[in-house]
Amino acid sequence: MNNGVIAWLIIFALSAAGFFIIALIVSVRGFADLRTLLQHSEQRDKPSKFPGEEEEKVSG
Amino acid sequence: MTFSTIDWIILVVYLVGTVGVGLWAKRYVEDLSGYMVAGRRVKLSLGIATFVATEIGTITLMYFSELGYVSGFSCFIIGILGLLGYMVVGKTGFIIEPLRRLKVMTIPEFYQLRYSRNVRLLGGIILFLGGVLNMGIFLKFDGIFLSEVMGFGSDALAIIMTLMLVIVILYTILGGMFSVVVTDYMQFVVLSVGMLVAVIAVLLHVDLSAMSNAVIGQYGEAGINPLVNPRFGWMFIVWILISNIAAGALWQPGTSKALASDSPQVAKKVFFYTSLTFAGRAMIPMFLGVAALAYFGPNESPTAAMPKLLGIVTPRGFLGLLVAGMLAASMSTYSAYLLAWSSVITRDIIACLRPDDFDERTTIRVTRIFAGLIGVFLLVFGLWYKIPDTAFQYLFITGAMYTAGALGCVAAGLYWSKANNVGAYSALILGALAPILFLVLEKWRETLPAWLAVFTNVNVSGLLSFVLAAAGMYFGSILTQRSCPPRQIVGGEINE
Repeated sequence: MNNGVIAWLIIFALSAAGFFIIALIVSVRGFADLRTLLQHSEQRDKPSKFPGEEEEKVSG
Repeated sequence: MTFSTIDWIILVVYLVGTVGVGLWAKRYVEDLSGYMVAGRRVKLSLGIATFVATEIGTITLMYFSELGYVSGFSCFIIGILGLLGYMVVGKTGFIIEPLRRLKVMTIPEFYQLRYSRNVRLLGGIILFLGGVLNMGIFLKFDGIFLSEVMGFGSDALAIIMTLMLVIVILYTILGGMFSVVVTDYMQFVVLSVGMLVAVIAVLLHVDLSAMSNAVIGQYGEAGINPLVNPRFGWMFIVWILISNIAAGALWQPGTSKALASDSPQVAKKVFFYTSLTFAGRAMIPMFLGVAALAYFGPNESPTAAMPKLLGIVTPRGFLGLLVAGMLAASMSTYSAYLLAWSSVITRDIIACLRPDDFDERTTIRVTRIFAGLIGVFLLVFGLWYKIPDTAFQYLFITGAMYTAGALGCVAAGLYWSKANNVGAYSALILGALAPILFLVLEKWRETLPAWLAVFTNVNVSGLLSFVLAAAGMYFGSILTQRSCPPRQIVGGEINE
């Protein structure tokens, strides 16, 4: 194995480790975020499916 | 056929679960911003999960592994360029922070705020064409992956493509961004596990020194040094670095995740932390491609080599998990892309052509119809179109069709007070020109005169698109300051 290959393999190992470590952290913490997002949405008043659609127009 | 009963059980449970959760999330869609950007309430970790899931599809793994197979370790440079490009955007907030502050839902909305309704229309058309052409090959590559890994062979391609599409369209059309975010999270977890399974299975069967020998034996120095590899070189590196910054800030499916963030600060952090996964996102599949070269030798199809290897080395039971992971990757990408491009055609093209805007209910209905129509187009285009060069280069050149002009328009619009309508038109048109020339001319590559043949070099066309767009914005604006005075955005309002 020459030095170029070894250098790329080290960079690959660091990159893959970085990917999987962030994936682990985000999987755990993301679940809490997801619960917050959905709880917040459930707590909102929903008088109709699309409130104010008669008056409100899409911007642009 | 390599799939066992336990693999099928894992796969079916996963698919039914995803569709069920996607449809269940529909109940949270109360209005247009809920449908398009999940009510702008997505926090950091969830934002990262959904962004990464969007940016990794089976197509991502396929085109990167194809590159690993045909160029060895030298293509790993692309992972570093991806990391750098997205890190610049995340660290500085370049473009995404002010866009999130302006509360736009699509990039062309900014064109109307800063330039005019007609610039929005032109920008929307180019974005839509570039985006749909870009997405056009996704299904085909996903179908190849699944048929090779599961052992069906190429006959099953059309059936697999159709099934995948129907499942994704079902929950994307109905649930919008809420369904996309919720299913993205699930898919992020499953795809991460799937990628880990793939790496471990390959490492257990393919020796690192065999990979080194295969690359050096097949490609020599070009397999290690990207500067001497004829596929890459300096021009490629500069183009891909600029492309990564532009795509990071402006590629609608990814940017919409920033626009859905809880705040501009969260949007920046989402980009920064996501950038840290980008080297691995590219290098993991490239490594699998190099392993396939070592395992099969150089005579296998570069596209099919990696999935074929995984089909052989992954143990029963884990293969179901791996396929579920890759399906998760694809579905999260499709759902985000379908939503992004159907939103653009509805809000930035159809609505711009009408004298009155759609109300919210009609906007959502029209968006759903276009998501379905785009799906049908993908199926037809994916089965019929033969891509030039590698899939990676095709995706970046179709992406450049839009991102080059958009980078000129949005960056100048946000940070340069002299940017005006003429500059915006020039940037959008000139930015799209070189990629379109490439896509058309490469079909007659052998018969072209030398001065035209230069456009059939994908690296030249890609870099040229950004240079032309920047020149178009600068000279178009500077030369017409009097006849077409620029207007500014102050606190989300337009000052003429």
